[in-house]
Amino acid sequence: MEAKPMETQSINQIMKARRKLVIRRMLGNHALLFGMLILILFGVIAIFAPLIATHDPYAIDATARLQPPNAEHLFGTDKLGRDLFSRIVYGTQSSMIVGFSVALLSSFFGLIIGLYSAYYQTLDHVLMRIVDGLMAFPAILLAIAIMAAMGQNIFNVTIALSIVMTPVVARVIRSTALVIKEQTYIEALRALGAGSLRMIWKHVAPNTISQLIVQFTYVFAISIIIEASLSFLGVGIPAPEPSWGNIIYEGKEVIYQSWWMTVIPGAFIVLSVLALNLFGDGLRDLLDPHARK
Amino acid sequence: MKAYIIRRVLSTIPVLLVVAVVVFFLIHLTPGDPAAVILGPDATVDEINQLREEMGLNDPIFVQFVNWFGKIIRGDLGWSVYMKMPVLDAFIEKLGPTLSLAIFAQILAIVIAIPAGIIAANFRGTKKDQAIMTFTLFGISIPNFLLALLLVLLFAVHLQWFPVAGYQPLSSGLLNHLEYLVLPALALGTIQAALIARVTRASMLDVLNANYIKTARAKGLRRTVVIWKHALKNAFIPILTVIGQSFGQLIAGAVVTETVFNIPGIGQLIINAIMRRDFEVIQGTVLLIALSYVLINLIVDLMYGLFDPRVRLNRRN
Repeated sequence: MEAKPMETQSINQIMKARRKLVIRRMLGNHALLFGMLILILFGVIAIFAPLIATHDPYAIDATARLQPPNAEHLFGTDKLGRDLFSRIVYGTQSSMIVGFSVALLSSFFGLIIGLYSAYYQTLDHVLMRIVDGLMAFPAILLAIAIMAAMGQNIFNVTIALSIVMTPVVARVIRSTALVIKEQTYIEALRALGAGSLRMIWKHVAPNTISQLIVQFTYVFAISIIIEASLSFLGVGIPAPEPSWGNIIYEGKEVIYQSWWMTVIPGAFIVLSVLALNLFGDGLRDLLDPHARK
Repeated sequence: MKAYIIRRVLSTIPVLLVVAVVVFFLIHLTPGDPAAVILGPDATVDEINQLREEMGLNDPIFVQFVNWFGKIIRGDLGWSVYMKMPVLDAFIEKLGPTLSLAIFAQILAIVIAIPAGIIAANFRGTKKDQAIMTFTLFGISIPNFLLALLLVLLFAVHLQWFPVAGYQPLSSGLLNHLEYLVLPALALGTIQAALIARVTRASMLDVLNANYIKTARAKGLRRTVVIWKHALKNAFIPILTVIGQSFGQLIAGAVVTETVFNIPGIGQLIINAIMRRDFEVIQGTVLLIALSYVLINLIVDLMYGLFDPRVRLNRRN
């Protein structure tokens, strides 16, 4: 009877020590830290866009066309004289909203599809053929076709990208879950007569979470790239609404004289995707001890 | 081997069916009544209804799917309202430049990426490895239209080494053809190279830890021989897989890159179709690209079976 409090205490101690270790490893991983800081910065820009923007992103000023970066317009102006700093700040908001929502939606559906197809063989055959079929389409092209059919707006971009990315997450979760399913403790649970619902959600799902988090960051990164590409091609976020991709599209016509319209939003795209990739790689190393040889 | 081939070929059927269903749904998602579009704004409701009946648009959706699928199998991918020609013909007409670009970029990527991946694996943890990995990280973090524009800014606008945009067919001479393709292929190939280099490095690291590599080294073979002859051969399957699987990405990348350089390929076909709301062209093109992706992966898989007996004996998924 006396052993119990001692046991909980030591478990608490172990958990505390583990948490400390994780935090220490996080601080020791410079790439992860760098990625995280940049992401926080982008998050802040997205959330406080109205406060950060110095001008109205839609305000046209015929007297200030195609100005290079200067004190009044930090990132210069476009050919309608709109302030690029403000447009890029609002573009950050669009990209972050799209990327985050797509990552959230496809993680959610990918998790469910992946777990259930790992668990039920017949379902697996059906679901995985659908996944294979969807993955046969190059992501950007499928997104283009969906956008062309559904019409352009930020909501449809999110839906189109979620359709494209869910199969990718589902595949990864499925293969992770298949490995977990073969573990002895799952076998023991089955022998004890645990129900399938309990088994899937209480014992298999928690062990796929680290994979899911890593996939979340990668999907986030790829979504930013695809959204920018769609907007650059003119099928993503529609024109006066600012996005990194459509600013670069407008800059393409004047690339000879106005490099800033290409280079600055481009730097934002690369920096955000780079940060997500560094963050994802760092998390993978942190969460999966096997990958760290 | 025969059983393996049959099994693998049969397994593509459900995938192709799903591809067809997805494209069919895309057609049905498309806004507007096709009959009304064809007849124009002056048509009466009766006329539209009559044409809908003739076109089979009033049939149950399943019947419509079967009819449409029958047409696809016979190579009828629809009609381009704007270009006034069958979609398949339009596709074939524009295929040349895209294929040329994709192949050139792929060769460039392989030539850069495989040695880079091997060097990174061989000098793991050193400055060389870090430099190569940093480079690949940038490669997977930059959208190819952006890299294309930056290359244009640097090499075409500033240094003026290459033309800014445009395309010359192969018939105008190989050098002329390549001169216009260097920048697009570089933009597309760099990103592809980043992907292949990462897989090559990972695959080589796996193999280099294997016992037969230790044996080869222990019996006194030189390091370079072991790496290039023993290790690379066995590390090749994952590399080949990623090359096969990234084919779709390569074509999609080519489509986007083309629009930067005004290359008259599949990308231009799709973009123009979007602007003119020529939906059958978009759907037909996307269908054809997905089909070729499935076929290429089928061929890659059959090749494994040929080279690696383990694959054809038991390969699930």
